[in-house]
Amino acid sequence: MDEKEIIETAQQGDVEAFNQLVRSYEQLAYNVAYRILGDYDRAMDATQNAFLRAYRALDQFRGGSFKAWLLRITTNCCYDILRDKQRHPSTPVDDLVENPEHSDILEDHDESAENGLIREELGMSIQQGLNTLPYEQRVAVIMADIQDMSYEEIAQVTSVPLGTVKSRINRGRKKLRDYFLEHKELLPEKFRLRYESEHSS
Amino acid sequence: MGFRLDHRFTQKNLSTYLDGQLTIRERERVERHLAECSRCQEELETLRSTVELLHAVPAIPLPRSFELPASVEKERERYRFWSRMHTALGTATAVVSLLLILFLSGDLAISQGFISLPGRTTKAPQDIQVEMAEVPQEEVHTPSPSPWEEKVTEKEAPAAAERATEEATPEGLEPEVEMLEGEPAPKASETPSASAAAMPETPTATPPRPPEPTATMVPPPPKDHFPAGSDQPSVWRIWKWLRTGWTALSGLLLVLVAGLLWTWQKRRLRRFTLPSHKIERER
Repeated sequence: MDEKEIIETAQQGDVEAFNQLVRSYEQLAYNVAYRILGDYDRAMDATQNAFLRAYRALDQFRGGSFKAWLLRITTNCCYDILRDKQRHPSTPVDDLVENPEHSDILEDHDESAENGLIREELGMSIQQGLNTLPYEQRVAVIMADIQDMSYEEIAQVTSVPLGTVKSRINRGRKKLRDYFLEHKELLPEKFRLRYESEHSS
Repeated sequence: MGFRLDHRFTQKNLSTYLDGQLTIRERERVERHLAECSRCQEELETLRSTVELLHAVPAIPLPRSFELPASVEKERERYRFWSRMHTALGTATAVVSLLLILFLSGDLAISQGFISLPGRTTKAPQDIQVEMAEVPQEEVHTPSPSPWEEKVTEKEAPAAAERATEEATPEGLEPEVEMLEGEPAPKASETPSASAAAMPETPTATPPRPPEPTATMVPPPPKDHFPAGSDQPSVWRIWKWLRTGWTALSGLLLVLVAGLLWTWQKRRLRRFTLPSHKIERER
């Protein structure tokens, strides 16, 4: 069964068919949610809510890219959580304690322990940088550079014109670059940004 | 000047240039500028490094599966039910609001006299006398809330008109005035009272007033009056109907708005219930 048929079956209320879609997209949805929110638990809530909302609103899906449609719901859930967080600021206990279950990288058994640690450190540093971006720019940069999505797909997800997507990515990247130039110590040595002039001196 | 414009253009489009999303013309313009601007070259390199950095971000492993339990199918039905209820109530509220506006406007237009309905006239002083005379004694005992609710039968109307023409003269009026102040003769004291119930300025409302010339004895015309034989009851009925209508509609609207809020809340709760821990437990 291809995706279109699975969606049609799920639209009739078949939970099992919908779960096939969940299995295909949960990794993507959770990663996007985590990069937007910067918090594991909130990312889990956002992802779960996104799939629930998607299931309930599935008969409103009128074809096109299911991935873009699902990511739109996911980003909306993330936005709701961020808004709620701003209204009721609190620091979850999990954020203060390192959670061994949640290693910041997908385990790669061929990778050396040292490399694994470096990548984990890199992931955390980049997350700190992403957290400083405004919501719209953060979403655009995450989709373009972390999820490798095309400008057209991002425009579909965010429901904005292509020009706006370009401008958001441009401004987001520049802000992130300025942040990493200012906070070089956050990045592992080999990933630190430098101007050419610094290299020559 | 050209350099500055190109510099601004390049700065604005460096990111798009990196992604290869510029048109050939735009790309050539950027490359031409990059060849002569070291600052833009540096910007491009640092931006390229940032993008590479972001590409190197590792994917995060899933903490658990996000598959939905079978029970969500029932939840979905309930959610749909409340959604449908909410939509229906929303439509009903819109319709009732529209009707309410129409009723209120109608009421206002009639009460302010913007709409003149056929048969609605202002009574002349002599008509009031006619009216006072034409009210039959049998009906005087039943107090009516408004002069418009007087019922004049067709049989009585000609006789009353005759009497009224006699009484319209100053001589004809004098005995009536005497009777008003004298003993409670059934005709004198009760005949005007039916109209006087809604007209406090009539002579019966101020008994000690001495007899005065004819002009002062004629009660002032009420604001709205319909002469006998006209269609005043129907106009009055329309107005009453409008009043009752918009009062009822206001109540209905309140109920609908309450229902709308309730279904909205129900639907909203359905949307956000079933948190992660419940799903995990059900699984």
